[in-house]
Amino acid sequence: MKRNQLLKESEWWVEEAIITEAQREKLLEHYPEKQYKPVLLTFAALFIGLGFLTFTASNWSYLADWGRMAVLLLSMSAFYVAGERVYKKKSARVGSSLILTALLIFGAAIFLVGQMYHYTAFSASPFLLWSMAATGLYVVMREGLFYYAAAVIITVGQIYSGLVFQDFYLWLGLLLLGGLGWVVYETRSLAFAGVFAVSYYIQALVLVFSGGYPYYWLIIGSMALYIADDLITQKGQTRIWKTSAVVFMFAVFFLQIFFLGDGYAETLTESSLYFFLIWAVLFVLAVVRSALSTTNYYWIDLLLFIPVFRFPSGDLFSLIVLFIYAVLWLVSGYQQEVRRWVNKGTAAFLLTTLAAYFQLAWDFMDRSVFFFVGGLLLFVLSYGLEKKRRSFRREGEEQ
Amino acid sequence: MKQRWFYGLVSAQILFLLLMAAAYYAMDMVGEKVVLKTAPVDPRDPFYGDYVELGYEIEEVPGEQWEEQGAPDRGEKVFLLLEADEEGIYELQKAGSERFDSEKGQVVLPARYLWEDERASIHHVDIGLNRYYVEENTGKMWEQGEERLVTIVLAPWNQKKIVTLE
Repeated sequence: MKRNQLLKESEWWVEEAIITEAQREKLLEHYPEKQYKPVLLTFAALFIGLGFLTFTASNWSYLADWGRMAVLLLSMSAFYVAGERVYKKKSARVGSSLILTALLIFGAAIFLVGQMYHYTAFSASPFLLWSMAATGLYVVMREGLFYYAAAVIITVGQIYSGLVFQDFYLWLGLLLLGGLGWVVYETRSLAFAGVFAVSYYIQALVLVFSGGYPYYWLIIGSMALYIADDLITQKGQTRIWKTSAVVFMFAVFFLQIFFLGDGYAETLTESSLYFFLIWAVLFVLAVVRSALSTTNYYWIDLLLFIPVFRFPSGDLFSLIVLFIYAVLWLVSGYQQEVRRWVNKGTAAFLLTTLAAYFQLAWDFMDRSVFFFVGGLLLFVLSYGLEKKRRSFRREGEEQ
Repeated sequence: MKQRWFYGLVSAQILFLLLMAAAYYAMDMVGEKVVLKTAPVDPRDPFYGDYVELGYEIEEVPGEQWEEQGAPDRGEKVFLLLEADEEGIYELQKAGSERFDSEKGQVVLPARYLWEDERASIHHVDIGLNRYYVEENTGKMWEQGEERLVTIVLAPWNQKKIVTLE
């Protein structure tokens, strides 16, 4: 209920002697007036900052080195000081956007000063310093904005490291796990955990592909996050790390259907001993965890952690696992009457069918026949599934 | 928000940038001077308005001076061992991924690996000093292909800069 609505209604409640005036005031306290958010002011601050920066940038070459240094240092300090003042006395929002601008100037300054004074970087260390400043700001101010800034800088830095140096920059990875991971653990914020997961998977991809490790190490990465989810979730909250791990592994399986063809799987199984050791430990943990869980159905998700590349014709095997996965969720969804599971199963089933169709029919069918038959197949499938889903919903409503 | 911590963090950032600059000026006092010969660079006109594009002889490492089997990845850190000849010009002794011990009259210069020219058996590296900023519109005096001597200074903390171009 909105405050305004409550304000009117409760007046009437008092008149009718349902509640007393004191109770009314107490109730209203629970619906505080929405704070006026000065969006325009934030934009004004950002525009002034940007205008200043572009002005400096266009006149950059006319400035002597010390002049550039002065411009960078003065503008950065000015934005920090102004931001802190405004944050404390006027508006947290405008204040933090001013401080964010200062943080951006700091990042630009690292690169510009580095260029001015001929520093050559052999790693993504400028990004490490920059993201440390952002993390520090979060720790001091506890403003979500700086958590996101830190996550973005860390992730971009890692991608940069992968692209430019073909190398995973360990310190950025550690800052994500130890720094931002700690923040997620402490705050239990769903949004923080989601952003963490995105950065985690991007970094895992950089680590595996720039290091030239076999792709199956990604399975370990997502399993670790799947299990770590228990550390950060509270009762009744969406299990975002678990979900992200499942989605990620579904994507991996989806790709496996296409590239785990003949011959490739064999090259992968060499030197996979360490993988299987770690995998076994994590898998046992995950099984124990799902056995302890109150719903007896979460073990279905564990199907996606099966290392199918180990088996001959892993592409076909991936396809079978995905079909089993989809059907199991569909069946248990209908049995237990959980609509979420039915939806999940339906989506998985459609995607798997699509992949199967592409994999099996692409090579020997005429292209137009291929798309035509595929369209028909999807049409029939979605009709059947939708019909089942509707009848299921009706039953649910009748009960 | 703890004000003291906030300003501590801001000061640390300012200090860091100042140190970056200070290190550059301190190099003149504590750094080692090294004279290098330029090599012709790829662009026909090495002059870009306000800077000259420079290449160095030592950036082309012949196969026999390459201490390693195979080539590292692009962007990987490599080291060059240089030694002064009678005229005081530094020439390449050997290069590889491991840091060399230098004797008197020798310096170790870190560089970034670029690519291998397998036909000519040359490893191309980048010492990161390929731009020399000159005053605007004086660049026409830099002729292509002319050999020049560049004096650089090398700090113990691996920073380096160009001092003069003759």
